[in-house]
Formats: sequence, structure tokens, C-alpha cells
Amino acid sequence: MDVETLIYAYLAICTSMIVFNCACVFVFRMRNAKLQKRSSILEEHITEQIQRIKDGKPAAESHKEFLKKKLLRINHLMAFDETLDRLLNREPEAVWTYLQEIGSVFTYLVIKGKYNSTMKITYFAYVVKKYRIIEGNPIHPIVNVMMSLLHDPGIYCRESALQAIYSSGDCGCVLQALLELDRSTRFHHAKLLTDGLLSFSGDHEQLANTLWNAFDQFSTMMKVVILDYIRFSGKDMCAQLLQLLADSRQDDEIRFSCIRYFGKHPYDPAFPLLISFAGNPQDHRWEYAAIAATSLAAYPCQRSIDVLKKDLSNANWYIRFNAAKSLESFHMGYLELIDVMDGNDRYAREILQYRMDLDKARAEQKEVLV
Amino acid sequence: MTDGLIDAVKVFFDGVGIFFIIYLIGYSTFLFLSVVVGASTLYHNKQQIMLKNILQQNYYVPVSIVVPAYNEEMTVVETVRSLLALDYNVYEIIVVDDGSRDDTSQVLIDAFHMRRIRQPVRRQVECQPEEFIYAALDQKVPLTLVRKRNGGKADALNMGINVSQYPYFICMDADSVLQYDSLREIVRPVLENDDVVAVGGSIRPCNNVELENGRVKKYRLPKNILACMQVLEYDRSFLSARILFDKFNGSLIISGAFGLFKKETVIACGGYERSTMGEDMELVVKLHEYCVSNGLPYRIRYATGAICWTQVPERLKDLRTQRRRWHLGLFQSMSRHRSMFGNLRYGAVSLISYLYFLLYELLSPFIELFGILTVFLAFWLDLINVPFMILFYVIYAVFGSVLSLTAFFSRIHTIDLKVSFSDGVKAVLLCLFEVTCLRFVLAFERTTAFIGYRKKRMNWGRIERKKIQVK
Repeated sequence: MDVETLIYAYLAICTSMIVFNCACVFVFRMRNAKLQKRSSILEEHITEQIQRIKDGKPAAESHKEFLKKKLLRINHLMAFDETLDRLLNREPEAVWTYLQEIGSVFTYLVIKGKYNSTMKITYFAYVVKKYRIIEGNPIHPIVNVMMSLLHDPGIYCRESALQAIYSSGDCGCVLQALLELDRSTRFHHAKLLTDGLLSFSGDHEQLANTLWNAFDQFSTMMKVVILDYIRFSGKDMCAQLLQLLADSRQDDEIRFSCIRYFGKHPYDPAFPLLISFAGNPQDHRWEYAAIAATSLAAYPCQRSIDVLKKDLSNANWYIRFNAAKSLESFHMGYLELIDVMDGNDRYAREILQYRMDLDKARAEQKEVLV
Repeated sequence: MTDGLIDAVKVFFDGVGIFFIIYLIGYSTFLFLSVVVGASTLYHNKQQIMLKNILQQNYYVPVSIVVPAYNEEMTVVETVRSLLALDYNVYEIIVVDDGSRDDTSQVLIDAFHMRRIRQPVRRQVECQPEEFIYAALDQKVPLTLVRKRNGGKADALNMGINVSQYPYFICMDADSVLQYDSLREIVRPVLENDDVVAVGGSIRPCNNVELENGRVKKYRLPKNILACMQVLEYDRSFLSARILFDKFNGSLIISGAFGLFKKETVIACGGYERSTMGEDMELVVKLHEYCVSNGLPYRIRYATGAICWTQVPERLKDLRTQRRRWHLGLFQSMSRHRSMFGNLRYGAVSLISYLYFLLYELLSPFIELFGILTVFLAFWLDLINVPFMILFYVIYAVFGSVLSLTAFFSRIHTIDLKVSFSDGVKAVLLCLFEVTCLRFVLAFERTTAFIGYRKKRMNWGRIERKKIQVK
């Protein structure tokens, strides 16, 4: 190939880039205009049906057929979403009733759906979640499709499917979903799972019990997710979690999560164990003492104070830091801490002084605000 | 001249010609690939957002934002205010005053009613000692000010790492503004993949852009021609190239103006290197080296949606100072980690990224200068086909300009910014000027960057600061 050919090849590339640019601008403009047009047509149809429902009549079959035909295409589904968004602001109750009326449309869509790319099916899952299509209906055909999406390589797809499943409000479905996900080799961040479980639309007490009953079937990572969920959702499972914490055969991460639980939900029978972890850091991994030192903030008593003061002299920064933070939460005066403040351990003194400074500054700030 | 000498000169020019053809084909192909991949990624991202392929809930990874500040009394308060307005829940702000000679600390203390605290600093990475620490306790998130002895930007960042309490930290410049959703966007790769150790944010010039609560209220190209050309340059060279490198985990640079790092890994590799001018590149290269040599799975990502608005220099003198610093930083990092060159253990990082930075960034000003000198010599010896040379140059300029425009308009269209017709025309006209003139001015500056290197290797030089238009 001579140089001239190459130069002309690059010129051709330049031209195609310009064409590409122009085409993109055109496509975006057209797409927006079409979306608005489709949305206004749909609004007319939907408003008519909402009026019918208000008049005590069911949604027309012809309307359902119309939707079945149109919503198979993702662009129409997007227009449908935009229309409902607008209508929900105007008359939410009527729209929710309308959505219940047309529930069968979504069943049809998922069976016949032409959402052949991950992006499109993710969007469908988003719509299912947003409009609570499977709420209170665990045997809905859509649930099976959502379950199958949990094995998709795309995180957004898995997450959207999970969100749709949480919106079902059914504990059994959520349990099955977590088991499916646990079997899959795909990485799904524990934070997404814990926060996702907290968005569950059903009874959290029942969900916590359901997950607890199947606890042994899960991997360590998922067990920690469930324990964190139980901790944040505020469910009382103290007795069960104490058993878990006392069992030294359990994985460290699981026991750490239990210690955190007892920091949020004080439980007297757990206190001796927490004291033992915080008071004897040399017997375990350092994390036990560090987390227990934080949890002891929920147990304001002389025994806690003594152990935390001892932890202030620990060589590990985190143990010292957490112990000082817990002592600060007890709002103790200088005299009560004089043994540390006048002691020989500079590190203990410094960290405690820092927390006391913060405590004092916060109190002063509050006074100023008052 | 004897026949033998003439033959030798001809052979020399033939060799130079072949070298430059290969060199330019390589560069043009890289530029083409990066712009195509960059543009298609931006369009794909837009499609993803339209189809709600995003994380819908409020997932928070706690992050510490470290803002090193040196003589930033004019901008630092606005920067902190913009950080306090970010749409994110779990974060802290740490401003490290690196021994400023102006009132950087005092303006912060006054503006945020900060109180002195005796916070012990856990020295996990080396840095100069602190002089005092202040904290504001009535803000949305914890705000800490650490005043330390002057030690340079890397040293200040190390102090920030030592003071921070969260597992991830963000480094940013004191004269930049983060877009309201930038924290959500920059932590997203961490939620997607547990092996992510660093994420680079997208840097956008904000000269003449109106920002309100971290949102773009009005987007206009800078009035200043130099700044305007840099907008185009940022899109073509930085945005596109970084997207391309991201595809094979080959990023060698995360801009010091906005990047997120896993603290544990950064501490394990010794934190920021204090004896270099390019501490941002140095850290990323070190992360590659550390993870590869320890057999750790890792990813270094680039988040196109995580946007940081920054002032670009409006005076040629400032721009030259900035580019001189970048070039010396590049040289320092590349020479320090020369063992990566051609080392198969590093895979694509070595074979593509390192090679690219060596040939088309570090050595390019010298190669370009050599090329220009050769052209003059050939012209003098009447050994050059002038019409062909002009044609070649024009095509090169058009090619570069079209790619700049493609990158620019792709970015504009995919993040729903609107440019006026006059700004569009301005972009078209200036891109040609940028490729044909500014590029050579900067190449000259980069070539001469090494003059006085021994004396000035740690001298950052001063750049004029202006307030960003934030409401």
C-alpha cells in the first residue's frame, strides 16, 4: 500500500466521522421528538381508561390489546413510563388502580417480549419494580423471568431483577433470589444486597425470620449480608445471634457482624462476651477487640469503662480509637478519666483528649445554636 | 558533494521518511481508535442511562475527600462549599493546608466556624508534621482542616490519607468543583467490581461555565481562545484515550484533580511519592507495579460520568508552566518504572500503555522537533516533494481536527449539554488552530522542559488562580 492510498483512507475516515457526528445529533433529536409524540398519544388512551375506571367500568380489552401490541417495543415502553410518571403526579390513586387493571399486559409482555438485549430486559425489570407489577403475587410469570436474570453477567440487570423481586413483598421470592445469587459465581457487592433488602416492600419481621430459618444454606458472604440486614432493619434476634457469636467454629466475619449487632441492639446476656473480646485482645484477632470496643458504647457501666480504659493503651490504633470513641459517648468528666489523662501512656492520653475535645466542641456548638 | 555522500543523505532521508510514516500511522490509528471507542462508550452510557441501566438506590461507600491546598485563599472556601453540597451521604472533607504563605487556613476557619482539636495523626505514610488541626462540627459532613509544614502536593495528600477515617479516599485540587453527582458516579465501579483499587474521574474545563449547586446552569465555551482550545484538547486527548485504556485495565494516569483510591492498597505501596512532580501518574504506575508483583487481582477504572470542573490556564505562560510540570512528572515516573517497559508480566499495560506514553507523550516533542528540522534540511537540499508535504500536513491537520470535534460533540450530546451555534462554529475553527499551532507551541515547551532540570525538578511554578463561577 502506498502512502497516497493511506492518506485517502484517512480522509475517508474523517468523512465518516463527520457523518457519524451528524447522524448522532439527528438520531437524538428525532428520538426525543418521537418519545414526546408517543407519550402524548398514550396519555390520551390512558386518561380515557382512567375515566372509565372512575366510572366503575373495567379497562377496555381493546386498550389492553393496544398496549400489548405497542409495549413490545422498548421505545413505546419508555413512552409509557414517561406518561405514567406524569399522570402519577396528577392523580396517583387512579393510576395505581389502572395499573392493577392492566396487569395481564405485563404478563403478555414478558412471555412475548422482544426485549432481546440485556439493556432492554433491565429496563423492563425497572418498570416492573417501579409500578409494583408483581406486588403480592409471588407466582406471577414475571417472577421466574426475574429469577433467571440473576445469573446475567451485567450487574445492572441483576440489580434491577433483584429490585423487582424485592418489590413483590414476598419473603419466599426474596429467599429464593438470594439462594440463586449465592449459587452464581458473579460478584454482587454485599452493600447492594444489604441496602436492597432494606428496600423490601413486605413485612421485614417475616423476611428476617425467613432468611434466618434458611441461614445455614448460605455462604459466609451472604450470611454476613443477612446479619447486616437484620441489624439495620432493627429486628430482635438477640438470642439467636448470641448463639452464633458464642460459637467459635463460625467464620470470623459472621461473628464480627454479630458483635456489631449487639452494639446497635444492647442485650445484657451478650455483655460478658463483648467484655471478653474487648478485654482480652491477645486471645483473638484484633478486629474482635476493635469492634467490641465500639459496641460497648451501648453498655454504659463501670465494667465497660474499665475495659475501655485498658484498651486505650493497646498497641493497635483501631482498638485505641474505638475505645476512646465509646468512652466519649459516655460523656465523662475530666476527673473520671484522670487516671488516663495523668497517666504515662501518651498515646492513650492523646486519643482520649481528642475525643474529649470533640465532645466539648459539639456541646459548645449546641449551646450556640440554642 | 560526492556521490557517496549524496547516497548516504538519501538513505538517511528515506529512513527518516519510513520512520515518520510508521510513527504517524501508529499515532493516527491510536487517535482514531480512542475517539471511536470513546465516542461509542459515551453513546452506550447515554443509552444505559435512558434505559435506567443504573444503580437506582442510594448505595453509599464511605469516602474521604482530601483537598491539598497551597496559597488557595481565593478559591478554597468556594471549593469546600461546593463539596458540602454534593449529593452523597457518607463522606468527610479534609483540607490540608500545605504551609501556605497566604491566609488559606484562616479563611476556612472563619467561613466554617472551625474549632481547634488535638487530633492524633496515625502516620501510615510519610509526611511533614502537622502544625494544628481544626474541625467544623455543624456541617452536613465532618470537615477537617490540617495545617502542616510545607512539603508539596504529594506530601499534603499523604497527610490527608493519614487523617482520613474511611476506606476510600478522593484526591482533588483546591481550585476545582465536583459536579453534584460525582461521588455517586466515582464509587460506582467499586460497587461493580470488588477488585477496583482506583477510579479516575473526568476532568472538564469550566472557564466560562456557570455552575449552581454543582450543576451546570449554563454551558459556554471559554471566551479566552487558549482555554477554548484546551477544551477540545481535553476531549480528544484525555477523555478518549482514558476510555480506551480503561477497556484493557491500562490506565497509567488518574488526574490529580479528581480520583478515587482504595486507601489500604495505596498505603501498602507507600502512598504518594514525594520526590516527583507527577505524583498522580506515579501513584497509578506504583499501583500497577504493586498489584502485579504481588499477584493481586486489580482493576483501575475510569468513570466518564464522574465530573470535576476545573479552571484551565488562560495565559500562555501559565499553560507552559503547567505542561512543563506534566512533562517532567511523566519523565520522572517513566524513568523510575522503566522495568515495566517490554515486561510481559504487565501485559497490555506494558505493551500498549507504557509504549504509548513513551513514544507519543514523552518522546513526541523530541521526535516532532527532529521531524521539523529534517524537513528544513530536506528542503534546503531540495530533496522534498513540497506539494506532497503540504497535502500530507493538511490531511493530518484535518484528521486531527475532525477527531477533536467528534470527541467534543460526542461529549456534549451524550451528557445533554447544549452549545450555542456560535460556540459550535468557534469549536470548528479553533480545533484546526489547536492541531496546527498550539500543539507545536506545547511541544516546544515540553522539549525545553528539561533545561535546568536538576535545579528546578521540584519547582511547580505558579499559575494564576481565578474564582470559579459557582452559585
